[in-house]
Amino acid sequence: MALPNRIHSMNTVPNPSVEREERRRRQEEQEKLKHSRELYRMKTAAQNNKVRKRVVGTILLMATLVLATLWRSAEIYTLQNEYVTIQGSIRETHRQNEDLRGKIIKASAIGEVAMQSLDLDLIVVDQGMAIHTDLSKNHFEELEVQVQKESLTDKILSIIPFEVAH
Amino acid sequence: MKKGRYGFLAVVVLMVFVALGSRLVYVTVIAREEIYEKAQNQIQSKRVLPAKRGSILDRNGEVLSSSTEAYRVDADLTALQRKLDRTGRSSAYYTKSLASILGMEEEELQEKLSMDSPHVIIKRKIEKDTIDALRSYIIDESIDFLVVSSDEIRYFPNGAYLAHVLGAVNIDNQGILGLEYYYNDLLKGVDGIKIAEIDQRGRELPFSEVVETPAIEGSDLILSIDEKVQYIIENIADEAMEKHEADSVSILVSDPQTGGVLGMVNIPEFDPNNPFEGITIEEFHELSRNTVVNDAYEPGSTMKFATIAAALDQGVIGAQEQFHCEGHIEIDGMVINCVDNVAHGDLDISGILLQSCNVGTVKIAQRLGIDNFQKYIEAFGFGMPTGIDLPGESAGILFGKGRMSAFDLGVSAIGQSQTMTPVQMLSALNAVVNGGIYRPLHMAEKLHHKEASGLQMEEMINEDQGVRIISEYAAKEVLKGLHHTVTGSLYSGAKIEDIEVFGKTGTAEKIVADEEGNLGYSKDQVVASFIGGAPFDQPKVTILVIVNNPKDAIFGNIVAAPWAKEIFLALDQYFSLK
Repeated sequence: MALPNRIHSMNTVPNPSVEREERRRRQEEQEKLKHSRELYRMKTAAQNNKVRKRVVGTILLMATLVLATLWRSAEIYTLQNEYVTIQGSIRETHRQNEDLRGKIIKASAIGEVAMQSLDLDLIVVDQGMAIHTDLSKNHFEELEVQVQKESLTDKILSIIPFEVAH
Repeated sequence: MKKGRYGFLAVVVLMVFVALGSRLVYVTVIAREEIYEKAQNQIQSKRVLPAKRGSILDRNGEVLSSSTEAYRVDADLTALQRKLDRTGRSSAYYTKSLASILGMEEEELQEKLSMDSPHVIIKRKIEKDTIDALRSYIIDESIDFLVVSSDEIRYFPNGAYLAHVLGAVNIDNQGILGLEYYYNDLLKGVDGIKIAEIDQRGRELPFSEVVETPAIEGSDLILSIDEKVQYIIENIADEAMEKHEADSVSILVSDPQTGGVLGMVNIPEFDPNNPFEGITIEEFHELSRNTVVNDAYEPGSTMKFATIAAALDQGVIGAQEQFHCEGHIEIDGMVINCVDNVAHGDLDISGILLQSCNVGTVKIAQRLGIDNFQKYIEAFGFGMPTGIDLPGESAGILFGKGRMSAFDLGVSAIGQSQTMTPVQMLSALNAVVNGGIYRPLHMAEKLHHKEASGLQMEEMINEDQGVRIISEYAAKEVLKGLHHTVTGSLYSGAKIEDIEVFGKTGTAEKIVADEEGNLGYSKDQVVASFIGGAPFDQPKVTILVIVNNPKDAIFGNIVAAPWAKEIFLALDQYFSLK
């Protein structure tokens, strides 16, 4: 069985070159490990960040959806209330209109009108009250056309050109 | 966990799933329809949209009867009992205030609230002012046993005025009399329906599907009646009734050119707003008879124009031909007299009409003969309903073919023994006025149909071209005779200086039963009437005035003609008759 080449069969002192090499190798390995750990940590952190972002995004999305749903529901509720209120107003207006119509119908009774007319001392206009006029004759007085006489001042002003006179 | 437990849990879960699955199948497949219907009933409301009853208007669009929305109050007597038990009160606690608000008698309300029934109608056809006061009271007292819902009121703004023509409606707004009954199918419209999904409070859910078939409102009916003409004749009929202490007074005014009735009144009347109030059913039946249409009477001498017109048309007499009156005429051993047995001597048709000569008229009828007389009587529309658009029209009673004796002919010619309705009489006169064209009277002229879309359509009804029943010559000669009857007499009650009135009076003895129950003509009970029109040259109106059993006088010229004169004078102020 052959011994490892770094161990001298005749001497138990370690070969210094072998020692250095071992240390360097170990150091490299440690650095590699460190680097690898750093890489792993960075990768994990990135992944975590990604997940966190997704979770936050999802939460935000859900919150938005919930808010939108609540807002729409509130809007529908408000609309429904408005609709009901408007329907109520329409019904009330319709009722008032019908009530008014009933009052008008009652007040339009010819007997009622006649009684009110008597109370107001209104008179019945009959043909005896008509004024009969013979339109074949001219009943209007012939009027003379009155021409206003010009005063001396007016005459003078009329001679002078407008711009100068004023 | 042991294997057996896993198995048990799996079986339980499986059974739960099987049970749920089975229920799902039951709900969605087997009992689907039933469950769906139940669910729909909970969220769906089917509401009848009541059609509004059409209005009745006069020829100028004035409202004679119309409907508006109103309210009704019902009581849930179970809820009332609960409330009384809870509060320890008696129903009398609410009765006084409620009766006062609703305008009811306390006893009546108490009786209703004490009924052995789960619910009761408290009052219907309530106006808004009353219901507003009731609602305030309901809130103040936290009342939960009263239910306010919709109803409809039919208004007849003029009360008893035109009552026999307009008629009345029952509590459910269905016509029971007059035009309301005759045109009920057109006036009532067609109810609609609305199916919608509702929430717990009965409010419609937004964005849910609504199936709605809108109600089609009843058509408006436009009459030939003129509100002002009607007002005039109503007042005159009232005066006549009071003055003569008559059993009844009827007045009919028409436009002879169209056959449209301008006014129709029967006194006494009833109030269609409260047709049964304060009267018994028998009294109501008596009062609600439209005697102008439903009852026939013996027209007396007003019938003579038809006899003479028939003879002239048949050519058996001449317009200038003279007939000799000896004061009486004997037929088959029986005697027909002129009034007071006065012998009028020789008279032509104008003279016969002016003197109201029975003998002359009988001689003309004899010349015409029984068959021809009956033929013309039929042509004038007697013996059958004229077809006027009012319910229960009487046909009158005539002698059957082959059953009229010579004496019957004589008395029928002077307006006794056969009966006619006032509507038949005025339709017959209108034929003479229209140059021989017969056009029966009618009440309604137009219909305004209202579509669900809001569109309105006008439909003319009762347009009648008329049918010639006598020659223009015969009609003209009779009209001249009727004109002479009014203008040629010094004593005519219908004579007016500036208005060319034509017409004829009649005094018909009434058939009454004596103490032994035998029927016979009464000497003191008569029907006095006047039939005529104005102006003679171009008649605008024709009038029939009937005073039934006047107590102060009997002759048509004294009792009926002066009222016709009053009507002509009043109408002349409205539309000139000169």
